[in-house]
Amino acid sequence: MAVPLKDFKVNGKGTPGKGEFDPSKAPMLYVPMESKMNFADGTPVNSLMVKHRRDILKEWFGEKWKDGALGTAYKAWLYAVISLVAVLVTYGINLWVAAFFAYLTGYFWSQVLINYAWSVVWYKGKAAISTK
Amino acid sequence: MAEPQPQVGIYGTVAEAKRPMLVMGTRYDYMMDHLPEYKKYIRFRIYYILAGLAGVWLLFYQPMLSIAAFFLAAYYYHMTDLQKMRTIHNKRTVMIGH
Repeated sequence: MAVPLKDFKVNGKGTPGKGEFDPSKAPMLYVPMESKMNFADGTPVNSLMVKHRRDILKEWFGEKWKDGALGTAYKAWLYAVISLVAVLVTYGINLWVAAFFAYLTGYFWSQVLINYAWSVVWYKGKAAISTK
Repeated sequence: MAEPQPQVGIYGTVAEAKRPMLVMGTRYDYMMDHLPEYKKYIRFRIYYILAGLAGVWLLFYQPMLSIAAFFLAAYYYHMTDLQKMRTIHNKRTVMIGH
């Protein structure tokens, strides 16, 4: 039975059930309906970027240092742990070598923090629309 | 000049399905939904390479065991392909805001 849009209720009820999509909890996304203007270089104004899942995942799970993505955070964490172990191993052998590994530990840990902040925490407030 | 992005067409569809066709969430949710599948893809890739190497090594020492190793290598090679279709070769549409 067709229901007017203003009377539409999710699942026939006012509140969605467990596991169902709750529109009130979705993040806000401003979508301008139409734009006839162009940027200064001639490219059209786009309200949304339309991509495929493959492009998104390659971009978000990238493991190269320049990507600065989730995979980079994993990689930097591994390198930080290895550097820390190297500090402990070389501490009794040569203090200068241990100090070098200590520098590397700090560097890789800062990479963990930066990549986690920009590719995980920041994404918690950014909207994504996907096909079911 | 920058590559032009594909335009978003504005269409309206009223459906009586209980669940929506498009789901709006956060990038974080979408990433965490697909992270397990991506991890599986990485894991299966390692498995098939290791099983293949073990098969070659066992060929000279335990040829009977190398059959099992090559079976595992072939199995995980195809599992890797399946995981690729779910993740990095998938063509499902995603729209993200700037």
